[in-house]
Order: sequence, then C-alpha cells, then structure tokens
Amino acid sequence: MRGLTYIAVGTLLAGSLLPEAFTQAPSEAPAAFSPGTMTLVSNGLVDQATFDADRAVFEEQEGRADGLGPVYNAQSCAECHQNPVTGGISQITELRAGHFDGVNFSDHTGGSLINDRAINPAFQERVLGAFEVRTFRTSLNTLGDGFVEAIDSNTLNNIANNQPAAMRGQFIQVPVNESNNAVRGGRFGWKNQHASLKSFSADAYLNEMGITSPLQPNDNTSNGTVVDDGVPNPEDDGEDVDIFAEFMRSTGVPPRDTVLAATADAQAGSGLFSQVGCTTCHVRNITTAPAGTVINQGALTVSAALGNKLIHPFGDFLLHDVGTGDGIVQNGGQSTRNKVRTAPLWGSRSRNRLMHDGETLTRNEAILRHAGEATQVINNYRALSNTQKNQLITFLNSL
Amino acid sequence: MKTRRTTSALGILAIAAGVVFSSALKRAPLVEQSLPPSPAAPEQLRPPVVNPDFSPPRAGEAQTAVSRAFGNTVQMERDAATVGDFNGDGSPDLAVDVRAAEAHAPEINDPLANWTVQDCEASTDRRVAKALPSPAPVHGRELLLAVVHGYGRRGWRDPAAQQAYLVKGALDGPWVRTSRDRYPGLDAPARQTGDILAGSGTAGAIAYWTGARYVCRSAEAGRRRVAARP
Repeated sequence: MRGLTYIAVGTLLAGSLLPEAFTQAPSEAPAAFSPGTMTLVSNGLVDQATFDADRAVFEEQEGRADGLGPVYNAQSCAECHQNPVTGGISQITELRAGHFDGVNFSDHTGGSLINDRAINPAFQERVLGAFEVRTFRTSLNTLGDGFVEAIDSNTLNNIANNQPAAMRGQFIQVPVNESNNAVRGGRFGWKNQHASLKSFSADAYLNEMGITSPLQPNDNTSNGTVVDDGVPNPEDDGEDVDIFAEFMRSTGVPPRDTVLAATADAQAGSGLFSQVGCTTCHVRNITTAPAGTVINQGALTVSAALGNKLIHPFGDFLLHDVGTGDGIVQNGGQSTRNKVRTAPLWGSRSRNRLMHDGETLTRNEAILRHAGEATQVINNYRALSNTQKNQLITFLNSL
Repeated sequence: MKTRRTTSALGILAIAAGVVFSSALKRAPLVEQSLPPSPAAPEQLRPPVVNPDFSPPRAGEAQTAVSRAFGNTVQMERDAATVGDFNGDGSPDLAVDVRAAEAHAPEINDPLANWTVQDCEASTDRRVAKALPSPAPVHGRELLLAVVHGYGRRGWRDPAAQQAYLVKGALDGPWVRTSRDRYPGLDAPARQTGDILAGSGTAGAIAYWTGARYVCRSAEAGRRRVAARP
C-alpha cells in the first residue's frame, strides 16, 4: 500500500516538476550584423542564400511598369530602411495631416498620409490648408522585428499592467490582414498600427511605394481623387509582400557597440538609465514566445530561430503620451491621438534625428522633450550631475 | 523482495509516464491567447488634466517657478507673467520675460542644461530648411522669453513642473494669452489646441508651440484665413 502511495506521489511530482526543470532558459537573439564586416546575416529562420535573395528584393527599385504610384514616397523598402545596413533606419520622414475639431481627429482628405512623390505631376498630393494637424514621422528600424512579432501579446499587456498607473502604456489591438482582420496586440509603427510583419509589408508596399497586393488591393488616391497608374491591380501577386516579411523575420537584432558598452562610463550610464526610471517604458529585456506558438491569429507559428529568445529592445511596444504626440489617429482610436509608441532604443546610435518627428538633434534635448507620463523620470534625470548625464548619454550611444 | 522490486519498477515506470504525459501536454500546440478587444483603460480615456488651475500668479509665485526651472541663471524682467496652456496638454503653463544673468551665460548655454534654448526667429512656419538650426549662444543680459510647462492640475505651480524653454528672439513682450482660434492661418503640427502668446509690444508678434519648439510669427499672417476644407 505504501508502495502504491509512493508511486502516486512520484507520478504527480514527475508530471508537475520535471518538465519545468527541463524548460530551457531563453537564449540571446543573434545580432543582425558583425560590426567588423557590416554584413547582414540570417538569424537562422532561413538559410543565408535565401536571406540574401530576400534582401535583394527588399532593396529592389520599383518603377512604373511594376505599379509604382500613382502616389508614393520611395521606390524601394531599403530607401527608407537602410542605415547602417539594409533593414535599419534612415533620416527619411513621411508627412501626415488631418483635422482636429477639439474632440476628434479626422484624416486629411484621401488619408492622413500625404505622399511626397507621384508618377505624374497632376497626381501630386498636397496638404490642404484647413487640415491644420501636420507632422513628420521618421522611418523606423526593422532589424530584429521578427523577434518583436514573436512576442506574445499577453507579454506586452503584462508590461503595461505592471507600469505605474500614471505611466501605464496603452495596449491596442489591431487587425491582422492575413487573418481576416482578426485583432492582435499592435507593435509596429509609431502608432502601433500593425501586429504582423506581413500586414505591415503590404501596408508599406501600398502606402509608401504605391504597389497593390492581395492584402491591399486598391491604389491610393491623390488627395481623395481616384487616379490610375496604368497597371492592373493587384500589382504584386503577394510574393513580394511575403518576401519582405520573411526578410525582416530573418534579421538579427541591432548589435550594440560592444567596445563603448564595455567602458566604465557606459556601464555607469546603464545603471543610471535604470535608476532614474527610463526602463519603465524603455524596457530592457523581453522574451519571445516559445517556438511552436501560433501567433498572428493563426497565420504564423513561431519558429525555433525566433522562439524563446531574449531581446533587449529598450522599448515596451506600447503607446504613451510623453508630451510629444503627433496628433494623428490610426488604429488605436481617439484616445491615442497624442500618443506614440515608446521608441525602441536598440540601434539608436545609428540615428541622429531624434523623436518621432526627427526634430530633436541632441540626446539631452530629446530626453528633456519628454513630459507628460515621463515627467517624474525626466525630473530624476535633471537631478543628475553633468558627469552622470554624460554617462547616461554614453550608454545611449552604445545601443 | 520480489514485491519491493516490482514496486520500484512500477514507480520508475510511473515517473517515466508522468514525464512523457506532461511533456506531451507542454507540446500541445501553443496558441497566443487572444485578449478581449477592450476600450482603453479608464486612465487613458479621461482628460489628461482635470480642473486645471489657470489663476494668475500671486506675488512671488512666478519667481519661485522661474527659480525652480532655471536656478539663478535668469532674472525676471518685470513682475508680471502670463498663464495659459501654451503646449496644448491641458495643464497651465507660465510665460515670462527674463534676462540672462550676466555671470551665468555659460550655464544657460551648457549643452547638458536642464532647459532647452531655442531661437524663435530661426524657426519657420513651414518648417523647411531653417527649421533646425543650433541657436546662437545666449549672451549676458540678453532678453529671453521663458516658458515653464505645467504638470497636472496645478500646472506650473507643481514642483514637478520643470520642463522649461528659453526662447531667443521673442522680443515683443510683455506677452498676453490669447486663443488659437484668432489665428486660423497658423500651421500647428500637433498640439494645435494650445494657447497663443501675443506680444503687446510694437512688433505685432505672436509666439506659439509647434509640438517641438516655440516659433514666432507676425500676428497679421497668423490671422490670415485659409481655405475651408472641401
């Protein structure tokens, strides 16, 4: 009888404890490139040859015969996502506009995005005078975005729930186009307007390059007027969109400047960054969902290359009002009008125009430009000595 | 003896079965759990500031706020200050003419100072080529527009209100708070609900916040109406 008891207890213990002991700790996500060679390397999702071929498509210049336009901002993905390597950031901004009536924001005629280029001068978009809400938005880094996509929405929601009420980020859910617009936690774009890299790719292909695809089958208008670029829709059969998404999913994370990061100043600055409270929103560590997790509302399964990886984005992928909001509403509703996504600071050493609009040029001024939800944290920064401020900025310059 | 051996064997088998069973459970397809599409949390839906205190400064209050923001690097030009929501966040801000203290110009120009120096004249309403120059250094005794952005209901009076700007070239003070509705011709990139600072000097200037900086413009240009939306 006693033996049977041992058996029962042993079974329960084994069932409940042993698998936990076997659960692997997350491993570090690989770097996107080696600082020495500056060569992009696959994170293992696809082999290097496939990755290089995907990159070539990401860099490919589109022309009128490919369906470029009628209005557009760039001829290739890499035109805006290139620094210091393909997939990185750039100084290029896009222009958005609309109207605020004191209660609600409404889009500019034809949509809030005002394209800067057109295939015909007759199609050129312009900001119409009475749309007084106007803002520039810098293009964003896409390196490591596959890991960001692989973060469970609940992880982001939990980050928000653990932030102090006065600084709590807003978690929004946005349509995943490839899953019949079922919603998932937004994480891409300054307004967290996308949750999947495929949706993001199709959106950017249409709105930045004017190329339609099955997920975005209709060309943009010119300030609301339908114009024809002469190429039947969809201009891409979906293959390019898939390749763009695969390329981004296959990139590693932006690597740090390891030499600078190892200096005493950067290490002291790293401590100060946490001490003053920056990491409340510029979150240092996030672990992606386990490999095999079905995400994007069933459209994607997290691969072994992306699953259970520790990343250091220095961002929470949530929307906050830090006094810098751009006044534009996209997928998050009116409460997000003056909110923007916490800028993930990984790779920010490659950026010299700061904040969402690129209007701030020094690290100190960028920090001081934070207000609203960030007020207490920034006041902690103000209390630092100049030596400490320089250490903190040295740390930022190592990211 | 035989019984004990059998029991041990059964025990080992049971443990193995438990591991396999539990691992199988763990390996069942993991699916990201959908969160209910819910409205924003209450703190995200309420106005950013409730019942803001826009009362004018009482004796010494403006000086206290200026000292808190700028230390002893500037002196108030006159015992008068203007209260309004100049950055459009709903919290009361303070605007006051100050003069750079002769001996403290280096501190004002320190690149790590706790305030931001901007050149009102260097900004343009179209935010084109001249929009982002580095302002010339502030010199001793220079007249500046100081703005302290408020925090919460108490605004500029709140000890946490430390976001502060020193604006060069805004020379048309003393400044008066006025409604942005009076200036339909203004480009206002984001915080377009903020009040305008109207100069009461001879230049007929206005100063306003664009979301990133204070810019100056002629009041006449600001009043020019733009075409109605289609």
